[in-house]
Amino acid sequence: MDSGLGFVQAVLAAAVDQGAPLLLVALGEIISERAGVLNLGAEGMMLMGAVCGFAACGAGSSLLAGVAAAMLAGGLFSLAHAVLSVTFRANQIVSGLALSILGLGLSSFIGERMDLILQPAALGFTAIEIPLLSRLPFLGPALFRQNLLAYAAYALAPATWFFLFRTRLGLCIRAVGESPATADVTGVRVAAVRYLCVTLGGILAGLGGAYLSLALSPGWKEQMTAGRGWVALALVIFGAWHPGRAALGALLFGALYSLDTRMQARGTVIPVQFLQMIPYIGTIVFLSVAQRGSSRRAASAPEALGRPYFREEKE
Amino acid sequence: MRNGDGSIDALAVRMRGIRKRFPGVAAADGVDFDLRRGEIHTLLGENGAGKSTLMQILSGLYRPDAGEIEIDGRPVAIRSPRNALALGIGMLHQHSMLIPRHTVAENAALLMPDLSFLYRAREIERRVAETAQRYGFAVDPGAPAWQLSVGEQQRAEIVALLLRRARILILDEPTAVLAPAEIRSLFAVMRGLAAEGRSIVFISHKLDEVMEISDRITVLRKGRRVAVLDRAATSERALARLMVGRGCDAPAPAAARTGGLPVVELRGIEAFGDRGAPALRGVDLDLRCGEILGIAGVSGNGQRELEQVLTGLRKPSAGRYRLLGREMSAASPAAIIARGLACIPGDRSRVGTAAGLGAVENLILKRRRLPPVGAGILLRAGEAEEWARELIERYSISVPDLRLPVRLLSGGNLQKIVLARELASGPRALLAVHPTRGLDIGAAGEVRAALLTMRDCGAAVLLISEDLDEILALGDRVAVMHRGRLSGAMRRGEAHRETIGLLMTGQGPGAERVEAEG
Amino acid sequence: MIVPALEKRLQATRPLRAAVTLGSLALALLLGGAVIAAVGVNPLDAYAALCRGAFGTRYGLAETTVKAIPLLFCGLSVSLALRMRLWNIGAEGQYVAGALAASLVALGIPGFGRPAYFVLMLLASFAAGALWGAVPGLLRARLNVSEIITTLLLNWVAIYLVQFFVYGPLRGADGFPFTSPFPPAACLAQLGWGRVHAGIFLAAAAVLALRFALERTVWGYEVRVIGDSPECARYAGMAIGRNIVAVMAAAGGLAGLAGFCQVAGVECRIPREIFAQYGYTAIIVAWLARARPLGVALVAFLFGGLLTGGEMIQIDLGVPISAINILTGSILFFLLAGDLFLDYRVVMRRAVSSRGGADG
Repeated sequence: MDSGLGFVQAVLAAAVDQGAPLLLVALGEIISERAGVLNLGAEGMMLMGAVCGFAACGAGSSLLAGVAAAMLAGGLFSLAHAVLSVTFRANQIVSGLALSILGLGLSSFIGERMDLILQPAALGFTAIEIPLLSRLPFLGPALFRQNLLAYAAYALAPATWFFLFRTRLGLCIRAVGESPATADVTGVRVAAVRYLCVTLGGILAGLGGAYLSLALSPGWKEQMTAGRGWVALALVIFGAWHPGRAALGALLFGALYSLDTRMQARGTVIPVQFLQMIPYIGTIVFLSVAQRGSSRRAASAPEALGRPYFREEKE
Repeated sequence: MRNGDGSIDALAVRMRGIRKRFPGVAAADGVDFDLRRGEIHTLLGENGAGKSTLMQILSGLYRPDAGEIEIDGRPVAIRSPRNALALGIGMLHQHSMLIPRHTVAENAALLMPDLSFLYRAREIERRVAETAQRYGFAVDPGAPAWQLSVGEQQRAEIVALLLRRARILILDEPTAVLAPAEIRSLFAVMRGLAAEGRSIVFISHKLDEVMEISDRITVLRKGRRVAVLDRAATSERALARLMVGRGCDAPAPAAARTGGLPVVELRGIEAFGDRGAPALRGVDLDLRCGEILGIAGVSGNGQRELEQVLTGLRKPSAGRYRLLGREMSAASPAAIIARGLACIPGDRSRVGTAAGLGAVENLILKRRRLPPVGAGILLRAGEAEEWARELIERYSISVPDLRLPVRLLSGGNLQKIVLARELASGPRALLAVHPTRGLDIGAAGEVRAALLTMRDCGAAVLLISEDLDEILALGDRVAVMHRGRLSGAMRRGEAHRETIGLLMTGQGPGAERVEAEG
Repeated sequence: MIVPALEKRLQATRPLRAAVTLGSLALALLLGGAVIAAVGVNPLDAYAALCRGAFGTRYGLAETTVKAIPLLFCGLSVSLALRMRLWNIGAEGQYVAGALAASLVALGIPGFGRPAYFVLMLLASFAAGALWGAVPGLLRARLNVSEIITTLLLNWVAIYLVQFFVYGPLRGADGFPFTSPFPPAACLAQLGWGRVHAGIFLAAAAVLALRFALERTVWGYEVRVIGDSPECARYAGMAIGRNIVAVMAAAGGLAGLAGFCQVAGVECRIPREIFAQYGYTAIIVAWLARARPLGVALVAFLFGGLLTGGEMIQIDLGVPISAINILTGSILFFLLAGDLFLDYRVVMRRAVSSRGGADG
């Protein structure tokens, strides 16, 4: 990946690569949160996707099988959160955390059962060059020699935007997240919409996990997400629940993930850890400033986020 | 076109014998209501008269205990707001139901049944603009709802309902938050809608507006229909009399007192409400020792904001507030409490008590830093329980278990807890807001007796209530709140039911008409 | 058509609570048992061995206690915040910050006696944790920024900060990424019972202190009122903003003490794996204990047992440690689901179809 590239280009290329799994999870979480359901189980869903994807890929000798398995695993797993949050009206924070822990345990368990840790990565997504674009000066080699999943991830960002803002279903989803009572009165099936969005979130999170085990660093290691699920959650806020901004944020966060080793090699003045803190401190500052200004409305969370909806059947 | 002779055509809505009971009160007690096609029909009555309940039943929020409803001559059972919408009934609530972050078009689109898979913003916006234009007003379909003024939001909601093909529109006190110019616009829209054959129910208690816009008027009182009149056949005075009635079962009034030194003085108090609209428009008030000043008025005319300004929960934007001689306009609630103002708040379960905590915790609420309950940073548990038990006994509050969350207690006992706590601090001034709302006769009597006792001991009592009988029975002086202004206070002998009724609706001598002000 | 519907319940009786809790636990144990059986181990043997290992032997009990201590502090931290309806997801970061501060004192200032080190490190770790809690508290009080997000984000700042020190100024003499051992005076005294250290007294004191504060001080009373009904609190003249900051700071400080105990009591240095997820597990502990200090102590102890016993059966029976995580997750999962029956009652009602009526 580094061959023949300058420092900045290498960082950019790595940013795209590292950012892709974050973006996938974040897009899924955006869909879920836009419908008003907070899902803190992202870490667990990513791990389930990673382990199931790797296992299926190995068993079926096909990347497609791996991707499909990962998406299925993530989706099913998030269904549990949907049942708890929507039907059982449980506290969404605790429910998501429970699933994170469950996912941690279950994925490690599966990994051990199938001796996956020792398995060499039979298949992995390799870099594909996009013919014309990769010849662009400077940006070409950096951005357009990524693997297929990465292209898919960044293509999903505008697709998610379109889904949420230009389709009827997206309108209903956003209405449910802002004011489920109003949506209910107009005939939207609040519970069904929430189930759908949470599941979509899980599917994408699973896909993000698959990216780790099939593309980024093919193989399976226990807890290989190393907190990326939580970073993706922060990314959702950083991106103010907008798919486009989340994509930019993913690049930023991705760059910072890759700066670590590179900067150490080059020996800079600022300790690398302080650079790594920037996205987090930056998000906090951004949130605080946004709360004050008139852009507050645009930048804040969906109104009904985190609150279970119970239609008052008055008698 | 309007139907001149309603008896020939089918009625748009026909409600017969509607009964609805809530715990302790019959909100609707066999009400009949007819709505002709193409008419603007006003539903008039005080709060608690049943008009809100009746319309909530029509719009599907509640189901009646008894009675029948026919739409266009067909009997229907309206089971939910969704059901009502499908039947063509649309309700414009007092508080906007628009989703603030969505644009006007997006809000309207949510209601449209024939929307395709793709949401074409431009097309929906065009339809919204067209519909608005047809009725003579402009609305920016691409603006997010939160940016619109209250009047604009209302019109946006009307457009949304129209796009949903609502043929029966219920407008619940739409003019409460509008400026005069906007009221004119709204009326023009309403006339246009009626002209095309839609039927409109207009809920209001502003008699001048009612006389301007209605075709017919139904007056409700205490859950029953007392009159149905053509507009031409009645007057504001007659309507006021019908609304307020004779009121003969009021408790025997105690002897009126004249007050002594001023305790609370308000001069020119102005304040904004939660939504940024002016709620208090220059209130002057004098409350003296040893008297009860009753403030009558329909809810929503600024009483809540007045309560909040007096207790320090809302800062006035102009004017002066003196409590026992000290300037308190910018004071914190703690300072005002310390100065000697106690308050029985209007919302007893959310503001007056911490519903999930026990009786002891609630009774020591204002005593926490004072002996014997508080000692420095410590809270003496033993003394606290003692204190609580004493109050419980003195006021005969029925509390089965001191640890039980107070939300499990009856309304009467809950209010007695608030009362006991507030009086125990020996206040110089007491603000009581709707103190007997929802209470049974026994509990209500005890509360009223307590207020009288306070007065007799030399404290100053400010009573804000919608119950005219109560105000006339207890108040030594009576004032009326209307549209954020307080009428001059009348002595009990001078205050007639009828006068007050008119003042409550903005008429009569001494009332302030809001004419050309913006 | 008769369908089940939910109706809000006023108050759940004690027997109902007990029944639901036991039922949920039973289901969780069943799920865990299934997982264990899948490994080829008899679940009953496994559970028995787990209990024995955690509570049955002297050494086991000691280990359980050692593991319980940081869980207890972090659990107290989260539960204090919960009493005011605030979510402290940052116990992890506050714990790390506290550990770092204590280490800086221990390694930075040589030559003190044991009492001096104890006091200074305690104060330093509490202060560091309090800072990590106060910032989100301030942002919530003044700007209404969600504390869930800010505490979560600050976790990473703490982690990177510690990494900076551990790879930099505090790097151990042998060049590995953990610090040199603390001077012996800075380490918490070992009590001669397994690895249990003097931190246990601190923990017990913290539980009692918090309980006292909540029940017997005006501040604790205000916290409870604000948590139950902020509007009532405001009406009664309580300062809500100030209390938010105070509570978040105190909560952060408690988690900071957890860090102090871990680095000074167990490791006597900052170990490589400082992030043991105590902060996140503590949220579950606080939730299960319904935010009551004594309950937190009990649940933390039980969780400590779960972790210890889990390690034991891993070694003895070959049950993977991941099974414990599965068990933990499913306990919480089923208890959450069970909560539904405490808040609502299931009734059978005629279905209310919301379609119908002709379109106008």
